[in-house]
Amino acid sequence: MANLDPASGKKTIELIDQIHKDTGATIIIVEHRIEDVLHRSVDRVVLMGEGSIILDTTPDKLLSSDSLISNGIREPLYVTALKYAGVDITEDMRPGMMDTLILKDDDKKKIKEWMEGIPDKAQGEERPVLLETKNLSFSYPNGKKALKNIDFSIRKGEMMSIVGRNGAGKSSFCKVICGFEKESEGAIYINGENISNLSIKERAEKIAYVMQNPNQMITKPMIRDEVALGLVMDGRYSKEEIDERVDEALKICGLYPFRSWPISALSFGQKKRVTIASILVMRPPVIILDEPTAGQDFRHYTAIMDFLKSLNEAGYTILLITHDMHLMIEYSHRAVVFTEGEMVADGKSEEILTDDSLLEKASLKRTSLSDLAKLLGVDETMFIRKFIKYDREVRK
Amino acid sequence: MSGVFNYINRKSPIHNLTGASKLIVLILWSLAAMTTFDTRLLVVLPIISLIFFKVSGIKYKDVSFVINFTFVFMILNNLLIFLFSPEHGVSIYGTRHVLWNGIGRWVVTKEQLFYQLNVVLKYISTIPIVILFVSTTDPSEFASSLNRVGISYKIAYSVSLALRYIPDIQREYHEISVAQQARGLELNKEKEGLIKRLKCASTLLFPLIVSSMERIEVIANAMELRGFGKNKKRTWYSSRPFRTGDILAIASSVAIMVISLLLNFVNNGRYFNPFV
Repeated sequence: MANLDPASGKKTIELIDQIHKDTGATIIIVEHRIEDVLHRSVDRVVLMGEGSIILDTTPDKLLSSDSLISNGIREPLYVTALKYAGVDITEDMRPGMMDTLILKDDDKKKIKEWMEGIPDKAQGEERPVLLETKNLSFSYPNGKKALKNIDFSIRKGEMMSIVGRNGAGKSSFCKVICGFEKESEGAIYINGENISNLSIKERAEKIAYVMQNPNQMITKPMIRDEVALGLVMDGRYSKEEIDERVDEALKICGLYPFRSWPISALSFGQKKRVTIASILVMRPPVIILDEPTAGQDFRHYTAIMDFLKSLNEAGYTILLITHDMHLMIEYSHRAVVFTEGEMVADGKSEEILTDDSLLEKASLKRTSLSDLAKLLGVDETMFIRKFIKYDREVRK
Repeated sequence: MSGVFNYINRKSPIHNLTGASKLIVLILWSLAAMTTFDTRLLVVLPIISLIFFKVSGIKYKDVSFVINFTFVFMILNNLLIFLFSPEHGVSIYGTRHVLWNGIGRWVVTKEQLFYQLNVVLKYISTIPIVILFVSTTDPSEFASSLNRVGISYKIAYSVSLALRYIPDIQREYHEISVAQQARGLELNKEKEGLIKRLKCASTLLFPLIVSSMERIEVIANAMELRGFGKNKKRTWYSSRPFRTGDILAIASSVAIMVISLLLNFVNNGRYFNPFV
């Protein structure tokens, strides 16, 4: 389900379940997004680590233990919420699926108390708008409209997600902003200045785009040369300045120990960080990342996202194209939703996640937190908001 | 961006022919047009190939890039021919009728113009057929028909895979190109010279090759997982039976080849000489 949007992932699991029921075939699903797989029941879960089998058990048994966390796999959100509230999870509570979860009244009370204990503070002051688009439209060569009159804005220092199903226009939008494609109408502004006439190279000084596949960006065999490339091509920097900036970027990205290595020796996640370092050297105020965590397991996902969070705290404005809703909840202040080329929502992540009609239109799906809130009889938006708050504090 | 060499799916009698028969027609037709200098045949062939083009439903704008490119190439070719041997026509046809005395050795003769007319006609005879072949042949069907005419299915499949991935590679090249422009590589026409842009374009090859190798590995694994290559023979989902249209097409291209050869005897050589 690596490249699928949440709704498609859900349908895929339903299809697999259907095939299983119809044909009785033996099915093995290899996946680390256990919450998505457990949308339909499975007989057994085999947990592997470091090349050997760690556990072979039922979903209920698995989720009542700590094995997932200790092996770098994200637990389903509702399980995390239960643990935060101090609820003791046992096998007979049937924690394997949200649908089968049984909560005693005591447990429900515990969760509500935990929730009430989280202060609901108002947001901080508004920062100035850094990047905006007005009435932006874009069509493919065959005439099909990929973007329809997009009015978008992002403020300095924000970390925002762009979500939506595959083909909704998220990547097209970012490509038009960066100049990779030409818009058919509308304008793009940075700090109030119209940048529609700047070339790709000129825009790249202000907005950097990190591609999903790092191999499409990397052209040099050695890490140092790759990271320095932008500065070298620019021509305005002395060798000392270049070395200094490259070292700085490598350190920020945790690549300094590898500075003399060839890129071929790196893992996918490390290559990703090389591409990020190579645009960091240019110090662009806005960084756009296309599916930064696609295909990564939880440990690497957390590593990259925490790194991006630190960049954001250092002042970079970050735009994330993603259909990972956990990412949207945990790391972005705000999110915009694209559907069929239109921007259909713009607001706080928790508000978007509790609007069922919007979720359906954008091929997202309800999180298990919403379902847990429903089970408890509390306001879904507030529940998610408080969960996010607590979660961010815990993981600091 | 329909690119340079793409399959364009329309409905037409040309599209209905099997890939193999189209390949045979292409080969025979090209051979016939390339070997002969009989202007009578060389006038008929372009007319027929342009009729085929019309019938196929492929429009000029679908393939404008290739047509324009070949046109430029043809002009260049003719200029160079004239530059290097302005009296070649004279030596072939044995007579010399001067039209314009020109400058130095560059004298314009009727014979040379006639010779170069033949060259132009050859281009117009073959290019439409080549374009038609690429744009009306579905890569998978092509592989299956290559296999039917005796080529090992593994080779046939490789050919069709290559054809099928041309648009993907083009798209990827574009993505890499814009990513590099964002790093500072200036490929913008107005802002850099041609030589520099060509040099820059070559740095784009490295990531393209790397990602193509990755792609090859993934596809090869996927094919192996489905049992490709296990047996000596295979059946094809998209195979098309040979029909009357195919027989006709092949027969007529054989006929044209034969005519071209016969004309060799009639003219005592490759050249039709109107000057004697």
